[in-house]
Amino acid sequence: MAFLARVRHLFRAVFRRAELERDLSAELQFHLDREAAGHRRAGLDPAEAGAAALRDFGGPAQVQEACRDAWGGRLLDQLRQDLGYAWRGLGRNPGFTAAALATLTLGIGASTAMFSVVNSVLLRPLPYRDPGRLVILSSDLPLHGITDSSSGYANIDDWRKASRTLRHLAAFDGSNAIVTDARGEARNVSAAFVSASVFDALGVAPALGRPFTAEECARGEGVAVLSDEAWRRYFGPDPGAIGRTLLVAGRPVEVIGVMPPGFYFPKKGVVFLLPETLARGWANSRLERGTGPWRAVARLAEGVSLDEARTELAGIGAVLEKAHPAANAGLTVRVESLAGRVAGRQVRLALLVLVGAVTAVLLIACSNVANLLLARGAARQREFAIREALGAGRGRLVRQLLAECALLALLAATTGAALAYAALRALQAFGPELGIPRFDEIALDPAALAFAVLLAGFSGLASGLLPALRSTQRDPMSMLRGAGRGLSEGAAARRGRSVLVATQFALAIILLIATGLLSRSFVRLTAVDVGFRADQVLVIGMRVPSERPEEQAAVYAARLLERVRALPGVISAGTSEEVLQGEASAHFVTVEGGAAVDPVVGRVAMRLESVSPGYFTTVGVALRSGRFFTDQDTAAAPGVVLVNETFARRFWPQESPVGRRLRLGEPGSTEPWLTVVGVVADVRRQGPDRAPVALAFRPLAQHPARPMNLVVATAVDPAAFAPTLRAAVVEVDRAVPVGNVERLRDLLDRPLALREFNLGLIGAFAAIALTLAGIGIFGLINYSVTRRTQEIGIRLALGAQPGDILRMVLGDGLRLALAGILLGAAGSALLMPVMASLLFEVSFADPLAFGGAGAVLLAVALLASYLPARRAVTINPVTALQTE
Amino acid sequence: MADYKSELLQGTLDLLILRTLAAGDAMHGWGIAQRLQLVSRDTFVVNQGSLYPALHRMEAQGWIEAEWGESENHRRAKFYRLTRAGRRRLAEETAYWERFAAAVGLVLRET
Repeated sequence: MAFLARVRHLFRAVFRRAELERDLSAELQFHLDREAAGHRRAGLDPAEAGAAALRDFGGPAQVQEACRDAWGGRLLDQLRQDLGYAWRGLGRNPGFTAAALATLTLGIGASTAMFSVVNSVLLRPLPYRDPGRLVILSSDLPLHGITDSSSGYANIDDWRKASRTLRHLAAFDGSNAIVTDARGEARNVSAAFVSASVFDALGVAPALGRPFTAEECARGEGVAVLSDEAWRRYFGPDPGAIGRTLLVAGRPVEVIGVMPPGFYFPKKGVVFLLPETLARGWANSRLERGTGPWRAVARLAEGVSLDEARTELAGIGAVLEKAHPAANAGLTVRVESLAGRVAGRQVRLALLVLVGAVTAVLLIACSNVANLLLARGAARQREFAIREALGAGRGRLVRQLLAECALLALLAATTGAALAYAALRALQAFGPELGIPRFDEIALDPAALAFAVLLAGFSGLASGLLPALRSTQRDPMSMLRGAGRGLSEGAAARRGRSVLVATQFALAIILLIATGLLSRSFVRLTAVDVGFRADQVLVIGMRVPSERPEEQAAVYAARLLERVRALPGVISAGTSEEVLQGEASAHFVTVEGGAAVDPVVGRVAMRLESVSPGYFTTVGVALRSGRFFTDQDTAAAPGVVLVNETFARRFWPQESPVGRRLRLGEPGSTEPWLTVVGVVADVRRQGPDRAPVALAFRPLAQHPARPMNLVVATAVDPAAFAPTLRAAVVEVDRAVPVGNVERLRDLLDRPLALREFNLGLIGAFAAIALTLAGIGIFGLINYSVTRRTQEIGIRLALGAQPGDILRMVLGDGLRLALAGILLGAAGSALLMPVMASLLFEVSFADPLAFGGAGAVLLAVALLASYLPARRAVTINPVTALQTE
Repeated sequence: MADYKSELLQGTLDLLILRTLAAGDAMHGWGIAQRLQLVSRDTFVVNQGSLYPALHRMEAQGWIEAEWGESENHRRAKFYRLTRAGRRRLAEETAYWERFAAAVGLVLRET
C-alpha cells in the first residue's frame, strides 16, 4: 500500500507539477496568514505581524525549494530543462548541428543496417522449437577428399537404431517432384521425402490438419503435408484443402496437413513434405550405404552436448564401417548444429568482417563529433566560466553538455533508422544470388530500432563525455581574467583533439586496407578463366517424368534439340545432366591395364554427367585432344567416354588417355569397357575460386538420365530470345516440367555475388571513413590556423617566408596523419589474417594494399591540410596584429 | 552552553510529527507547528519552515496522507493524517529512539 502511495505521488510529481505547485503555495500562505493573525492578536500592526510571521518561517522560497526536492522526480524536471536548453543551443548553431547530425546519422544508420543483417542471418532463432538442439548428420569420406556428403539410407537407419544421444532422428531427401494441379499443369516443385519423426524432431506441428504417422510412412501411403506457401499456391488459403488430392510424381497424393506460416524445411517456399517411402527408387535407395541422397536431422537428447553426440556417432560409424567394409570404407559421421549449417563459416566470417568495419565507421563518426564538440566547447569556455561563477555546479554543466549530445544522438537515431531502412531496401535488391541464408528475413524490426537507440546512447556518451569534462574543467576566475585574449585552447584539449584525429586515421586505414585486399582478390577472381564461353548462352532445366522409362530421356532430348536448333537465331544447342552443379561423389574407376582397384578404399571423387552432342561447343568448353561426342555415339554403338583434364591427370599422368579404356562400377563388375575418345578442358563449375573436379562424360544416348539442362548459344540478344525459347521447349512435351530460362553468365557470376556484396559494403564503409577522417583533420588544422592567426602574423612580420608557414601547417597535418596511418597499419597486420579465407590469391599482407591505403590517406591528409595552409599564407600581418 | 533550546537531532522531527498525528485527528501544518511548540515546552525550536519539507517528504514516502478541507476559521487548508504505513513507521522510530536514549543514558551513568 505504502508503495502504491509512493508511486502515485511520484506520478503526480512528474506529470501534475502545476497542481502541486499551486497546492504548495496555498498551504504555505495559509500557514503565514494564521501566524500573522496570531501576531496581530498579540498587538502588532498588520505589516509587522506579516514580517514576524515570515521571520519565524525562514524564507518561503527556500522552503518551497526544499519541498520540491521532497517530491522526487526532480531529476526529470532538470532533464526537461536541460533538453530545452540543449534544443535552443543546437538551433543557435545550425552549422555545427548539421555536421554532427550528418556524421552520427551515417554511423548509426550503417551500424543499424548491419545489425539487422546479422540479427536476421545469425542471431534470430530458426522457426523450430528450441532450434539450438537440432543437429544435421552427414557423411565424410576423407579418404576420397569428400566432406559433408549426403548419406545412404541404410546407414541413417542404423544411426537411428543405435543412437542414445539423439532423439527423433529423421531422414530427409530435399529434392523435387512434378506436381500436377487440378487444371493439369505440371510443375517441378521442391519436395522433401522425410521420415514421419521429422515433425517431432523439429518440434513443429501442422497449423492445419495433421502430420503423417510412422505407420502411414511405412505403408507408403500417398499423403502430403504442405508448406504454407505451397498451400497458398495450390489451394489459395482455403482450409478445405485438407483431404483434397494432387498428382505428385504421377500418383495421387492426399493433402493431410499444412505447416504454419514462417515454417520452412528443408528450404523456403513451395515445399511438399512426403513420406520417405515415396522417394524415387525407394526399394533400392533404402538399402544403400555409403553416400546417397539422404541427410538426417535429429534433436539432441536431454542434457547431451553436441560433442557427446559426435563421440557416440563416431563410435556407431566405426562399427558400421567394420560391418559393411565395401560401402562404408573410410566413412565417418558428421554431426553439425543446424544453426551452424544454415549460416556457414564463410557467411559468418564475411558478416564478422562487415561488423568490424561498421564499428570502425561508428567510432570514427563518434570521434568526429567529439572533435566538433571540443572545438565548440573551447569557443564556449567564457560562457561556462560565467555560468559557473553564477553558481552552476560543474556536474550541472557536464549534464547540460551531455543533454545536448543526447538530443543530437536521439535525432541521429531517428535519421539513422531512416538511413538503415533505405540501406536495407537497397540491399534487398541484391536478392537471393548472394547465398546469404535467410536474406529475405532481413528487416528493420523492433530489435533493430532498439539497437539504434542503444547506439545513439552510446555515441552520445562516447562523443560527449570527454568534451564535456574538458570544457568545464576550468577555474572560472582565471578564465574570466583571461577574457579578451582571444579564444585560447588548453594544450591538453589540443592534444585530445590530435589523438582523436590520429585515431580516425588509424581506423580509416584498416578499412582501406581491407577494401584493397578484397578488391585485389575480386580482380584476380574475375580474371580467372572458368572455362566457359558464356555470354550468349541460355540455360533451362527440365526433368523427364519418373513414370517413363529412363531410355525415354534420350528420345526426349533428341526431339528437344531438333526443335530448338530449328529456331531462328540459334547457333547451337546441347544438353547436360548438370551444367554448374559440381559436387563430386565417390566412384570406382577401373583403368584397363592399370593397377587393381581396392574394393574398400579404391573409390575416387568425381562426377559423371550424361551429355548430348553439341553440348561442349555450345558452352565453349575446349577440346584438348581426341573428339567430342557425335550423333553416331548411339545406344547400339561401342561405349565411349570423355574425360576432363583433371580426370586425365589422375589416371594417365604420363600419357594421352585417348584410345584407352576404363570401366565404371565396383571392381570386378561386368559393366562394359568404355573407350576414352577425347579430353576436354577443365572448367571451374563451382566458381573461379574452386578447383575443378574430375569429370567423366557419357553420351546421353548410351547413359540416359532424366534430369537435364538445355544450353543454347544464340546469335540474338539472349534476354529477348528467352521467352521464345521457353515457349518452344514447353511445346515439345507438355508433360515435362520446365524451369526458368537463365543466362549462363549470370549463373557463373553467382558465386561471386557474396564477394561483390562484401567488397561493395566494405568499400562504402571505407569511403565514409575516409571522408570523415578528411573532415576531421581539416577541422582541426583549420581551427588551429584560426587560433594562431596572430602568431602567424607575427612570424610573417618577423620575416618568415610564406613557404615556411605552408610547411609548418602542412607538417602539423601530415605528422598527425602519419602517426595514425602507422598505428593503423600495425593494427591491420594483426587483424588482416582473419580475412585470409575471404581472399583469393592475395596475401593478407599484400604490400600493394597496405601501400595504396597509406598513400590514399596521406593524400587526403595533405589536401585537407592544404586548404587551411593556403589561408595561413595569405594572412596579412598588419590586420592579424590589429584584430584583437 | 546554558542554552538548551537546541536544534533538533537529525530525524527527530519526523518522529515528533508522526507522534503528533497519532492522536488521530487530521491536522494542518500550522496546527502541527502549534502543537509541537506547546509540547516541547520551549526545550527546542522547531523551525516552522522545516516542518513543510518534512511533511512533503513523509507524504511522498506514504507515511502520511493529505486532503484539502476547511479549517476552524473557514479557510481551505491541507490536512494531514497518519496512514497504516505511518503507524508502523512510528512504532519503529519510537522503539529505536527508546533504545538509543537508554543506551546514551547508560553511557552517561557509567562515566
